[in-house]
Amino acid sequence: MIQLPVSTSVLCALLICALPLALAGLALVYAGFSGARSASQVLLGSLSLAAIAAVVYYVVGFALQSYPGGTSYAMQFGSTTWDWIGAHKLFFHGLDWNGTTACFIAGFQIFAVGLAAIIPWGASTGRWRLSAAAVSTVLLAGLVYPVFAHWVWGGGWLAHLGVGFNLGGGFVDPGGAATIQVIGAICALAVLWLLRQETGGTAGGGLQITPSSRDDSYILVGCMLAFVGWLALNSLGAVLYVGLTSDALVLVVINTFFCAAASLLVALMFARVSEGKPDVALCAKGWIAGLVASSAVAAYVKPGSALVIGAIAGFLALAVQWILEAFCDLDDPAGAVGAHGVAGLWGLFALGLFSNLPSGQTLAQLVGIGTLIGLMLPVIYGINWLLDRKLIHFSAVTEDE
Amino acid sequence: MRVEMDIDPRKFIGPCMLLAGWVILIVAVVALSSLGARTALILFGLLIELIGFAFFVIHRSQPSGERN
Repeated sequence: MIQLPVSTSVLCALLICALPLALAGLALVYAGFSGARSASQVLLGSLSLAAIAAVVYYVVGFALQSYPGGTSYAMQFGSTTWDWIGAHKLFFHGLDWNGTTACFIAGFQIFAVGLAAIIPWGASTGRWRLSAAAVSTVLLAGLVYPVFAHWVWGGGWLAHLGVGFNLGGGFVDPGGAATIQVIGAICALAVLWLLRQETGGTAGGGLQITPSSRDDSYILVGCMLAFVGWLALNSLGAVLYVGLTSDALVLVVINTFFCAAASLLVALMFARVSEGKPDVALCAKGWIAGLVASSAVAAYVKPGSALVIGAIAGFLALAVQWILEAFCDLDDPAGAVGAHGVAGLWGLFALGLFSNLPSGQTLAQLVGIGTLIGLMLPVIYGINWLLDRKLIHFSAVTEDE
Repeated sequence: MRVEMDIDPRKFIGPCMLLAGWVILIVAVVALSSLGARTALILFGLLIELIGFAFFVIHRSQPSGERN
């Protein structure tokens, strides 16, 4: 295990302490979208799911994820190694808690997995039974998240696309745009689809969210808290997975803010065109979309590029969200699929286009995106479908009735 | 604005997977030179194509909104 210098250890510890603000911010945003009627339920659910995710990750998740340089299982294809799952001990056994990279990664991941777990909960805005969400979170934090996180962050095959496959620097995602945000958004999409089926093909079924039932102050305070948490998330990812030193972190901070700011401005224009006036919900979705895109690119691009990436992230997130709601009857008032999924995918692709990483980086990013859509989407949908049909019904509507 | 079109969202999984599988296959064939790396990525892409095709066939014949 690599020992970090004392100054970097102190920095990492401080950043880990600020990380829960991202959780708190997102939970507040979702509570605001769900309205006063179920705000407390959404906040309680967010806390509970983050707690469940952390415990499950401690028991089994970290063992499956491991860390760069840690133990793992791999298959051999000629001279190429296909590293597919971590093989660390359960319950964090064997970790050295005195400033090693591995122990800070464990601290980082405890909150990161919680962040992924509350995205589908927030997207369902009170229509998903908490017991069903808890079971789904156990599988997310104990299996799906750690396996994909191993591929990206644990020295797995996606991270080694550069070395083993000669594709740029391999699939890169320092702040968790893929591992946290897109995985969370895919879960949200699967849950929304399943809830839609349970209510007989009609959108929503239970609680209908209208602009008047939203609590805009919750949403805006949540956005501000999320921003502070995201600064910690992106900075910590850059230190632990890219190896940036504290001197270089100012670029990460500026890029994070620029992405969010440009995305917010585009959302303001989007609202002006579509609604005729600034709209809090659209602006919040734009802000979150910018933060999500920054998770991929903040450590690698110049501030000017961050502005462009953020602006495109905001536009894509809102446009795709509008298309999904208008034509596919997707009832996602919090915009989780657009803000976390679409913006995350764009950020990952933009990293290949705008960074100075070796040639082939865009192709490595495309392979990662292909894996998310081609493998993780059906796996997550399949797991949740099985849970819904065979173990515990997802919809809270029948319970209320 | 909400346009009432009853498109079953599950029908998107298959085509999305088929597209993602093609992206991976094209990267494997065009960009990789090492035989092992190319074989591994092609097998991975084909696996995605296979599952995607299964999703596509299953949901294509299913009426919208039907609960299976």
